[in-house]
Amino acid sequence: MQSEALRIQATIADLAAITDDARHIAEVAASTWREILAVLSPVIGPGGVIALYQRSLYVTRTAYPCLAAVQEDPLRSGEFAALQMVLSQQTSAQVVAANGALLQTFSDLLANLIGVSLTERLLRSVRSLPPSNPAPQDTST
Amino acid sequence: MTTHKAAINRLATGVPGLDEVLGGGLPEFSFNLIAGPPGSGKTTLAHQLMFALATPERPALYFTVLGEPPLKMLRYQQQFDFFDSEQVNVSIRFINLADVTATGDLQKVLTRIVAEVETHGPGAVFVDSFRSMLAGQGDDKTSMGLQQFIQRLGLLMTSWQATTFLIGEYLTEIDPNPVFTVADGLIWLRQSPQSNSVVRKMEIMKMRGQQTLPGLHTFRISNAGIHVFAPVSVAAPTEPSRTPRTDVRLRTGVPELDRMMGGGLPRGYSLLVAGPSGSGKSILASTFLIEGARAGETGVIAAFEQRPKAARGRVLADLIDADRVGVVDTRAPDLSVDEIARLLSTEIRRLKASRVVIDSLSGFELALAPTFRDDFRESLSRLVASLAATGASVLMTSELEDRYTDLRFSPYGTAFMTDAIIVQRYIEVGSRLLRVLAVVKMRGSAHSNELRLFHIDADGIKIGEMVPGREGLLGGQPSREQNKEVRDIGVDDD
Repeated sequence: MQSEALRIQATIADLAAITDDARHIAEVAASTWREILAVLSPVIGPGGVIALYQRSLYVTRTAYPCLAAVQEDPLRSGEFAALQMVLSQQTSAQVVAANGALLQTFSDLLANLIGVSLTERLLRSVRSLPPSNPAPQDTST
Repeated sequence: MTTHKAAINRLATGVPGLDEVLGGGLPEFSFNLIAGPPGSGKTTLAHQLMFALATPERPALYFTVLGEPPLKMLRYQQQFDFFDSEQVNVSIRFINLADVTATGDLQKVLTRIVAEVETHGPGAVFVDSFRSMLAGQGDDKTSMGLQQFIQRLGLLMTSWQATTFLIGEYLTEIDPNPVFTVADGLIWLRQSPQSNSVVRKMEIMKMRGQQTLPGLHTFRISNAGIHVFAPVSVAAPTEPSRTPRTDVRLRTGVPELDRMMGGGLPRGYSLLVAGPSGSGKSILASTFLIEGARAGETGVIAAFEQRPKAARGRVLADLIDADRVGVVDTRAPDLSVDEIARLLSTEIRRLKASRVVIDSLSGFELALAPTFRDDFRESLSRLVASLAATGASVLMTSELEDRYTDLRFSPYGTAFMTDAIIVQRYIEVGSRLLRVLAVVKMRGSAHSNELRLFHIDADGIKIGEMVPGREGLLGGQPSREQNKEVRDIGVDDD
């Protein structure tokens, strides 16, 4: 059971409950991914996080074909701009579902590699309520 | 004269046996190098140290550089018992330096490390691996040199009150690496192959300010992590047991044998039972333990023959099940003498055992990794000394081929190490193979000089008479004594 991934999904679902603005939800989703990158990078390296993210996209693509269009710029992959762009073109329900599935796959992959307890331990540091108005973050590292 | 010397705290490493080898633990704020070839256990040692040293107040920082992908490292390290996921991000922080190292600028690497150290105020800092940091160092002329980097890192960490570990790969001892000079401690891990066996060894090549145990110390990596087998303390008072009191005697379980030994085996003595195969050495050893249990004593047995405990007799098997007799597991491959000695003394202490059986020395030699067989005598001598230090009485058996041309008591020249010796031997009389035994040596005590017939029945060893009217028994083919019977019984005495 991946309670941390569910918790992160829930915050986005909660947001969708109060707004239909897919662009805003997509923005929050992307900022959540940046937060995940920031939390996991020190431990498994930014390269490790991006590799897992790409793999998650590939796996989740079958269930959510819209994700096939996500082609992150390799030089700016840490910004999750392509994901945000693709998600913002969906309905809010689709954003929640597709991003939720992506998160779940990512968390499962990570747990597969480093175990459930360590995955949970690490994802616990991802803030539960991402800023609704994402502050510009320094993701250059 | 000042008496206010700097007090160096010694940190417990959490690695069984390592504190002893280090001479009392790891000096606080020291700058250490863990070196060795790939697969020698460096990262595992580093993790085990880290989980032991880290506290929420003084966390540990683990900098990963290019070497092992962190995902892999975490995947495999968490298999060990000491890996506690809950400590991650609380008292343990992993920091990946791949991006900074890729720039090849050691100054940037140092700046980043310092920044992280300032943020977290760690008590312990690990950099894994150092070698890959060198590989990442570009040809940039402006970047600082390696030696300078090491010196500054060492200085910074000491002033930040952190104990530091650099984990280095592929470093060879002959390579005059500047790191060796700068480091306070140098822990070298090796895998030493011989024939088909590989033994892991650790050497403390340097540890400033304290007396480490010199030499190569074997260690094992199991699910619990690293276990170092420090030599069993020789500092323990061995002298008193070298001159044991002979007034307290242990019964062997064979009353007549006790009488021959002058009243039993003096407490703390080591007894060697030597004889050919099938002569009843193991039975005597079992009887010795069973007799101890009957007197309320506990025992420990290290059996090197590959057979189940049931084959040692039901009574002994019951005692083992009841934990009155401890069994030292000797099935692990490629044992070292220190490991056996450590296992034995741990078990002796646990059961407060007063009787120890090693059955047999021949099996013991076979169980040892080939690399230790060359100096088997030295090793055995150490083992006997360490057992003597525990105060227990030891019975060792030794396979000894019957040679009828000379009189030998042990195949290893081990006779001098033991306090008492019993020799068993086959003789041929009237087309029968009979067994005889004699007490050959009993340090500091009178003993019988008789050569006695004995046989083994369902109740154990039964000692009979001396062989009447015969001489030349030790030649294996006794003849009738000349002065009594002139007529020979058909055996030529040449």
